[in-house]
Amino acid sequence: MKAVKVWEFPVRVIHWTNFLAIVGLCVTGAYIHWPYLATSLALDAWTMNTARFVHLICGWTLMLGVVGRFAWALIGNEYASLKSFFPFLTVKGRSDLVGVAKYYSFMSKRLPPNLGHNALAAIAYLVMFILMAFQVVTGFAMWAQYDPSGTAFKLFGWVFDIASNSYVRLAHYFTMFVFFAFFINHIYAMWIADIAEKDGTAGSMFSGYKYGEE
Amino acid sequence: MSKKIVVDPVTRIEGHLRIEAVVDNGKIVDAWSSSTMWRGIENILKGRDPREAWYWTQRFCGVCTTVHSIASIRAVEDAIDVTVPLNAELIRNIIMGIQSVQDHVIHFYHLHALDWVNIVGALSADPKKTSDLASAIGNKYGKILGVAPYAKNSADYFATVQKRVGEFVNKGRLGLFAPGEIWSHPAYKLPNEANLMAVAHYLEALDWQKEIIKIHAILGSKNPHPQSFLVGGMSIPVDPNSQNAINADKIAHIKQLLKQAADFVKQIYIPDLLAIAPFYVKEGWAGIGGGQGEFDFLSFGDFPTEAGQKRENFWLKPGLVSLKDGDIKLLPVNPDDISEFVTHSWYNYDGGDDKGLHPFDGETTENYTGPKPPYKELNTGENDKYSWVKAPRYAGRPAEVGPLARMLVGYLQGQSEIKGLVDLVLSDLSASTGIKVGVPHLFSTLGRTAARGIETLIMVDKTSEWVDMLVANIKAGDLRVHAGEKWDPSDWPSKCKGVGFHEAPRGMLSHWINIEDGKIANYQAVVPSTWNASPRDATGQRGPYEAALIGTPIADENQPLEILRTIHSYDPCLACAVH
Amino acid sequence: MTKEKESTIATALEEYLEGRGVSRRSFLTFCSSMAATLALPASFADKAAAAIAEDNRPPIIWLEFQDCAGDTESFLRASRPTAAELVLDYLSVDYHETIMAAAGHQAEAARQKTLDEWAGKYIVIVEGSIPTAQGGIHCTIAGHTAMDILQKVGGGAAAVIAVGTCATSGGIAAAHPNPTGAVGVKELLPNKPVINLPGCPMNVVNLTATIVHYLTFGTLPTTDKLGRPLFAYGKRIHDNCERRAHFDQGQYVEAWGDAGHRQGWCLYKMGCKGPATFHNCPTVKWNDGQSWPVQAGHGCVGCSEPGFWDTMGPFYDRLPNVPGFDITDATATKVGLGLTAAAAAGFAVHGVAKTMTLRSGDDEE
Ligand code: HEM
Ligand code: HEM
Ligand code: NFV
Ligand code: SF4
Ligand code: SF4
Ligand code: F3S
Ligand SMILES: [Mg+2]
Repeated sequence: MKAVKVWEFPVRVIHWTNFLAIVGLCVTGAYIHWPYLATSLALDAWTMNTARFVHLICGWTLMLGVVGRFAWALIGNEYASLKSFFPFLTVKGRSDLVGVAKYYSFMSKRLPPNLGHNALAAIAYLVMFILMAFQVVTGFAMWAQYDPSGTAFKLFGWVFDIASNSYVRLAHYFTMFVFFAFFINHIYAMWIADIAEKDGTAGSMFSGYKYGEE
Repeated sequence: MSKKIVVDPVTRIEGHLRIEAVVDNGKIVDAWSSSTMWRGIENILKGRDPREAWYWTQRFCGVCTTVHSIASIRAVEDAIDVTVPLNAELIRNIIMGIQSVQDHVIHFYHLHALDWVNIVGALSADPKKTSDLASAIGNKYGKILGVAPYAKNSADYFATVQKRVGEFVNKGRLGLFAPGEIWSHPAYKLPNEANLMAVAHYLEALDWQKEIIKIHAILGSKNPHPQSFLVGGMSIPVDPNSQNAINADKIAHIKQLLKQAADFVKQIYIPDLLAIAPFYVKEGWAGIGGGQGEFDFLSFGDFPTEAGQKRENFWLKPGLVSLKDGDIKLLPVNPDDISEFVTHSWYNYDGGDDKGLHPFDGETTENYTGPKPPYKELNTGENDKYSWVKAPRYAGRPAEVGPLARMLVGYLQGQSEIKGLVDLVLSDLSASTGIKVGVPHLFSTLGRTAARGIETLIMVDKTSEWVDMLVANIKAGDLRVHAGEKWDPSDWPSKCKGVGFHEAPRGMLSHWINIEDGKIANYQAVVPSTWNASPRDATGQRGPYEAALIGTPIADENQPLEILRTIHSYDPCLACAVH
Repeated sequence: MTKEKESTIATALEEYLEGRGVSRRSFLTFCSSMAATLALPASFADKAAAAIAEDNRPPIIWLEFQDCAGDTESFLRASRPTAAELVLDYLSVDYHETIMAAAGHQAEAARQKTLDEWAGKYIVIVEGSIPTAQGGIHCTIAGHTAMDILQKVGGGAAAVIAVGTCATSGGIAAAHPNPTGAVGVKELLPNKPVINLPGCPMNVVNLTATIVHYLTFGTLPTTDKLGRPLFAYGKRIHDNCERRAHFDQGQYVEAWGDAGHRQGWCLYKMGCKGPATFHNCPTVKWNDGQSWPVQAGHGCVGCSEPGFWDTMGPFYDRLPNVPGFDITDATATKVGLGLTAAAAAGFAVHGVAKTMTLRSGDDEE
């Protein structure tokens, strides 16, 4: 096995800014949902104001991340490409999917050889990108409500034609938990690939390199 | 020759009421009371949070706004067994008290007066003589009620009002008072000076009502539909050291508005009532609309003045004035004796429509069997259903609820403030008409209207007392407005039920709730106008409106003004009745 | 406007007002307070005065269907102008069941007269929802269904104003499961200009401002997508709320009657829906600027939002319930945490199993 450069620099940078943004969004989002800090701590500290400000900054960051990653999917290498997120569209992808599923259910001992995302992970990432975009759209729509005659509302206000503002909040809130669940899944998948399969996945998002056959 | 006449819409009421009546020889010999609108709120409530039922049921009615909130929170508080802090009870009393005062005065001037007062006749009055009349009654009743006569009694003042109304009429567009021919009905009997005085006060009352009801805004954020009720108490905090709570400034404002309320009631409303009534007592209206003993009079008492007080000790006492078998008896009441029939209402009961159901087992399953619209007449045959109003019965008998029922119960119990005023009014009417007016005359269209006035007079002073009690309690250091220990529904028993009673402006109101797993399993409201506007029951007994109309004279079948008089004397509210 | 024209109007106005026993000063105060409600420049006051001086009182037909008369009561609380001034001086209220003198067929005749003589020029105000199930049998007046009356009366109107959330979006009767098929006005009059003034009830300030706008400019005010005038529904409760500083500071009422509640802290945790509600309650307030729900210590429940009964409740939770599915704020949290825990537990078990297979060595070929 040899080290192959899989994740180009933009992919790595975007991954880690997204990661930081999402951590920030979850911490502040949970506070916005239910201000958990004791009032005594919050005294004169503009806690909610700060939480909302950080949420917004992270929100902008995540938006740029999602847009940037989409652009890179069009110009980056094969592992970053748009089609890498749609394994179920190709014959090989479908057989890989079966392979990964068998592996996770202990029916086979090896992951199908793969340098980019494994087929199942690719679908999970696709879903995550969609959910990130969903959070961005609903988040900006809610934000835009401070001025319904402003530009932001013109761009995102259509969201409220689909669901009332309270339901949008509920959906935005609930989606946070999907990120929690994904995070656990993601770390575990990383561990399994790295420790069990020794393909260097865990470090790959830092170094860019994975071990395997090109 | 008998003929069926229809009044639909009955106007100057709340809601959609339709009266069909058979007139024979200039008198009504039979009548049917029907409401033609249903929303189904009892069903919509199922599965929802009992803590917010007050906000939903408040929307039964925007006229007697607040009353359903009170009954609803009391029902839930009864079910989960929570004792409300005294401050909250007193704040509720003040809200209910001023509601009653405002509702009654609006009813008198804006909903009922035009049955007796001829607005066009007012144009021919002599302002000077009107001023003399107003001053005379102002002085007379001012002395009795302990207030100065009303300041606006001058001839100039009445001339200005006359000019304003005159211009309006002369433009030829009568708006609310069209069509012009209604004002030539022969049943209008007031001298024009009295007409002018009443029209002036119609306009004054319109300005006044929006002022005094600001007490609701202070204690409840807005009117109609105040928003400070909570199961377990009130959301408006009490704290003399905060600008965001009931403090000295807010209490001063309430007191000032209450004085304005009391002044109007004593300087204008009661004198007007006692000036107009004699003309119609002479016309026999203290002998019309009583219902010939077909129904009883029911009150369940209200207005606690201590935390956790029992209903028997409330300020207004419960009681049934029974007219069964011909004589007048005062009997104790029992919630178990209430039932509702749907034999002639557009609903079905699972176990058959000929038995009544107690509200805890109540059902609201719609079953419209009326004519297909557009229609000219309802089906009012012996077996027909003809209304969205259910038929509540007490111990199997129809009952009238409302100010008259409350005043009768208080009178027969010898409650001094009620007895004193009723006797005063009766002797005053006897003196001004030369006819001996006694308790039997109270069972009538005019009796109902007089009882409402008496109640207003008592209520406006009571409300001030409650404000004083609230002040004393705050002064003693009690700032509690909410009992929070049962706020979380997960602390409630998995199954419980409760009832909330309230003496609303139009009478005895009850809400019945069954709670399962913190949610509403069944909700039934039996509302004052449900009692009064009820259709017939399984044994064919008429509801109070229907029975009261019998014997009413009709001078002009094309304009049955007399029907309006008797029906309006009940102050109908059909949105309440049907919900 | 030329100087000359201005002074003619002023004289006409003075005569007009004098005839009504209204002082010029109080009239101008009224005009400028209207201007303030509508957020218009001061010059508006002159225009309003001129328009009203011409005495073209528009005929109003006020229809009530599945209502509670709360909006009628709100109308009676008007203070600038007062209800008496509105019905005598500014408008010709030709039909309004709750307050009109005539009843029965005479009431109907009065309405028909306006329909005939003012076709295309009268204004219809609608209060209450309209039931559509079973051919409309849940609301009839004089034997006609609300649906038919609305079509007939609304069809010939210059404009329709729907007052209260019932008339604008079905309101309480349309709440799940909507037993009577109740809908708002716009749904039945899709081709008419309909101004929606939601609220439960509507705040009369917004109705009088709409009417004066119409009298003055001859047009209806600009609205949002839901037909709500921007001057009244263009901003969120939360963005004008007097307790907003407490929200930003993180100071919340935690229990009814606690110290924070007494000090007017933010009601967010008690379920306030101000952050999702467009209405001018905090700026114009109610009953002559007396108070508004949050000021009385109770959260906003979002009464001006379409279908708020289902979409904004429960009142005492932060986030809405999904009617029929029983998904609440609490269940969302429960399900969300459950999902997270399930992921954690699932992968923990998988991890243990995987470790065993690794240990047993049969992973190596
Ligand atoms: C992973 C992504 C995100 C998560 C987990 C997240 C989480 C949350 C949560 C839990 C809430 C509280 C909702 C409630 O209870 O009412 C919230 C509110 C909000 N979020 Fe996000 N959010 C994310 C992305 C975004 C983005 C990209 C934006 C865009 C600016 C955004 C803007 C907002 C806004 C404006 C609010 C409402 C704040 C307020 O009204 O005070 N969010 N978010
Ligand atoms: C909220 C937290 C995180 C989110 C939402 C997230 C999301 C993602 C996404 C969407 C991808 C696909 C990348 C692409 O194609 O652009 C990815 C890949 C990856 N992430 Fe994360 N990530 C998170 C946290 C982490 C953490 C903490 C690590 C480090 C241990 C990590 C390591 C990786 C690696 C190694 C890959 C490449 C996996 C592969 O071979 O398919 N991620 N992550
Ligand atoms: N009937 C009735 Fe009400 C009253 N008073 C309710 O309980 O009017 Ni709307
Ligand atoms: S919107 Fe509210 S106030 Fe108006 S009719 Fe409906 S329930 Fe009553
Ligand atoms: S009380 Fe309600 S509207 Fe006011 S700041 Fe708090 S959440 Fe916002
Ligand atoms: S409940 Fe309604 S009255 Fe105003 S504060 Fe909220 S919109
Ligand atoms: Mg009922």
